[in-house]
Order: sequence, then structure tokens, then C-alpha cells
Amino acid sequence: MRTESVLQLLRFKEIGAIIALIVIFAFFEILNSQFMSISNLTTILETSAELGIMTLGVNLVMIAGEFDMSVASIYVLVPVIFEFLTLSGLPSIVSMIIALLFAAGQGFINGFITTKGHIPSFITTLGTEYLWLGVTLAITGGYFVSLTKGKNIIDIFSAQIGSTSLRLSILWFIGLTIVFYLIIEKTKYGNRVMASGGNPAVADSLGVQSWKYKTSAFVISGITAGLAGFALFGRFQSIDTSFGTGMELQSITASVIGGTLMTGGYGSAFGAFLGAIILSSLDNGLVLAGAPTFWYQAFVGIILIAAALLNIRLKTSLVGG
Amino acid sequence: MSLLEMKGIKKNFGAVQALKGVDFQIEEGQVIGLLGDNGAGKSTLIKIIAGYYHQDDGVIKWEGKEIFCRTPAESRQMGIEVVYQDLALVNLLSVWRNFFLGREIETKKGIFKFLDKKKMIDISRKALQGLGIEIPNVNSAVAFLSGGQRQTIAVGRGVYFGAKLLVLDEPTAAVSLREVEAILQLIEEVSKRGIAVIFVAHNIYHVHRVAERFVILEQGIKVADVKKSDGYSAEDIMDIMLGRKQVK
Repeated sequence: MRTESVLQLLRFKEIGAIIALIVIFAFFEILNSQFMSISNLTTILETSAELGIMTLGVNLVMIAGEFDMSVASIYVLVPVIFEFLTLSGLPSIVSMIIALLFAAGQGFINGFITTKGHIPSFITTLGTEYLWLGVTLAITGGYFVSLTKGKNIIDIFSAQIGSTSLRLSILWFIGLTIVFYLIIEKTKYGNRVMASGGNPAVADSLGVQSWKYKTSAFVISGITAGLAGFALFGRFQSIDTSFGTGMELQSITASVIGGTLMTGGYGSAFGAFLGAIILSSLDNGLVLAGAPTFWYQAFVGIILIAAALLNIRLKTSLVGG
Repeated sequence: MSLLEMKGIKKNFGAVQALKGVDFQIEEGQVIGLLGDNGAGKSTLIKIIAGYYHQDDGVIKWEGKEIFCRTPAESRQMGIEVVYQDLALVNLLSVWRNFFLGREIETKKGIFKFLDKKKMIDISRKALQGLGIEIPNVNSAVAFLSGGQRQTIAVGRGVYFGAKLLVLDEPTAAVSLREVEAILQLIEEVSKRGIAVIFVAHNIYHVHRVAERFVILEQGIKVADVKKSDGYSAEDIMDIMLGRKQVK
């Protein structure tokens, strides 16, 4: 088959996402020549940053063979906790550390319940997703929470860079992508996360305690969801639970488009990066093309399936059946 | 002094007595065929050796010293390497990543530690070649390899990391004829290096060629423990297993 031979030449995990990105860019550029302008490309990057930072963590959990559905609640709850702590008079740096410790702690709970209770992480994190959504609604009363005292420290995630329209969140997204790439591909930890996702029984029999690596991935995913929440809080200066709606599924979608397997043991941080960019380019391109926004979801569906079909063939040629 | 000596090993699973007081010992460099029908207690015995299960009763001595509860990882550190049929390697990972899984070599770059990929690729290639194991590319994923190749990689890994006792769980099951030959040769090579091998198998002919002693279990009891040098042919062993013949 021709596609097989093309894939032989381009044997790397992210090729599916790169092809999808090129097709989408070409398509929208034809519809509207403004699409590839510098200012629009920066807009795409900027809107992808929050989803992207979250996706890096979710992607790691998927490589560890699990799912994290709770990120959408954590994305909102962490900035809310931060805001309430600063209002209570705590220094903003302390408030931020406590909010992130909460993010890490809830991730540990997700991992611990999943691995020690032997239930699917989809269920564990769906449960905690509801739990933290409920808690967020209860402490905010369902109202918007505005950024007040902690503005200065939140700026490190979302201030504009100089006089450009770029925000710092883009640098966080790019920087964290490189960090996650190095962790996954180049470290002992990454090797063991992949093994724990690929075959936990083998990992365990070799003395690699897979539950620890799976649980740590949930901890990291909690932290990235929290960081993404800070970037969001800085961009909008206020937050409510509706901001998180659907983000857990979007981050899984971005990971899958990026070539990560739903079954664990295989995935890429650059793929997740591209997946997030693809989702925001779709959104952006459809707006520029003047299409009603609900077409966004239809396109996401098509891209998701197309990318998954391509990626599973790619995976077979890379690491076998 | 035996390398491994087990006395009166009992193990129950609820009401089922998997092992009813089994004695077992193996010397350095010895190859033993562990035989028996399904449910005879072979896998319970090797899982106790592996440290995966702990005996309910009985004594285990390793190099003359009594050993108590240990984890599979501790057993491996002591030099007991168990190669399970399907639990040896992670298919999605490359050969070198599997070879060093749990024992990765790192190199420092500033304050960070990264995998020393070059070194691990080099060592795993040489270690496998040294045992006569032909793997085209240690960079390729294990899923591309045949069942026989996977077994030999797991054995090579154990040998490289200083195993004194290799326990091979049905290494020749579901493997092509040519690969059976490669595995048998590998067992002979390993034994020459002074490493003891427990070869768990159904196929008496595969075991008979390489083993010098045969231990036969039946419903949790050791029914025979005989030496090939005492004139036991493969057919004799088979007859004992089928209950058609008594131990001489």
C-alpha cells in the first residue's frame, strides 16, 4: 500500500499530527488568506497554550496507561483556591504553592485509588471530576471569581511579552513541551512510565513498581492542569466553572491526534503539542472562514477519527502489531 | 552446598493444596527439567522460587543460607532470574529499553540525569551477541520479534545481570522448531558458564537433551527426582509421568 511506504520514510510518532496540521493550514489558507498571517498564527498559539499545558500532563497519564478526566475541574478549582487564599491574607506566592500542592495531592489520590483499589482510572477520575466540580460550585456559589490581590504572580503565566500580542503562557507551553519530551524519551523515569503503561505486569516483575509511576503521572497531570488554570485566570482575569467544560475530552483528543495510544505505553509530548495546536487552529480557521462555530465540533470529530486511523497504522510500522 | 535447597515446601490456596511438602535442590551450573501435568504444582513452585509467592511451610536455603520472605525484585538481586513466557518484555519498547528496564544506566548532564542510550545499546548488543543471540537491531521494538527471540533476550538479560539461577517457564512452548534449537543451545551455553537452569516444560524431548536431572511433580507431590546418567531415556521419563513406570 502506498500509505505504508510513505510511512516507512517518515517513521516518527508525530507524523500523523504533522500531516493533519499541514492539511488544516492549507485548507483554511485557501478559505481565508489571513489565516497564515503572523498575527493570526500568534492568536492560534495563544489560544492553544492553556489546553496545551493541560494536555502535556493528560498525555503523560495516557502513556502510563490511564486516563485523567478530573483535569477540567482542577483547571478551575486551582485558580479559585489561589484567589480565596490571597483574599484571606496569605502572600500570593504561598497561596500559589498551596493551590499547586492541592493539584498534586488530588492527582496522588486519583493514582492511589486507581492502582491500589484496582478500578479503571476512567471511573476514578470521572468521580473526582464530579467531586471537585461540586466543590468549586459550592465555594464560588456558581459566580465568577475575579483576580484581585494575586495579579502580580499570575502575570508570570499570562502577561504580555513586551509590546507584542504574545503572552507568557506560550513560552510556558513551549518550554514545558520540551521538558516533557526530555522526561519521556531521555530519562529513567520516562522509560518506566512507558513500561508501566505498556505492560504493568512485566514492569512489576522487573522490580519497577508500576503503581508508583502511574500515580506520579496523575500528580504531574494535576499540576499541569493547575498551571493551565493560572494561565487562564490571568488571560480572563476571572474564572467560573464553565471555563473547564469539555477540557478533559479536548485534552484526550489532542493527545490522540498527537499519536498517543489509548492503551498506554506509547506517546509523544511533541505530538500532544501539535494536537493542541490543531484544535485551536480548527477553532480559529472556522471563525475566520465565517463558519458558524458549531462546525468546530464536527471538524474535531472528523480530525480525531482520521488521525487515530493514521496513527494506528503508523504505530504498527514503528513498534509492531 | 547446593545453590538452592528447598525442604518440605507446602503451599495452599484456600482449600487447594498446590504443594504438599516438596523437596527440591539444584547445584551450580546444573540443568534440571521440571516436569508435570497442568496443576501439578510446577508454576507454584517456581513462583515461590521467584519470591512471588511465599511458602506456608518449609525451608528455603540459597547458597547455604536460609532465606525468608522476599520480593521478586530482591530475588533477582540475589541472582534468581525467572523468565515467564508472556511476562518477560514490554512489547512496545525497544530491545535495549527492555534489557535495562529497572536497571537503567544514566549519565549526568549538569544537574540532570539522562539515560545513557548509547552505552545501553552497545552493552545490550554485545551481551546478546556474546551468547550467540542474533537480534537484527536492538533499537527495534520487541513486538517485531518472534517468541523465541523474546525468550533469548530475557535469558541474555538475566545472564548479563549476574543471574546464578535461571528459571525458564515453558521456553519452548509456542516457538518454531528452529527457535527451539536456538533456545536449547542457549541453555547449554548458559550452563557452561556455571549458571543453574530450571527448565519447566511439557515437552520431554526438549528437556531431555539439555537437562541432567528430572524432577516430576504430580498433584503437589514430587513423584520422581532422577538423573539422566542413571540411564533414564526420554521414554522412561514419559512413562513415569504417565504412571506406566515406577522410578528404578
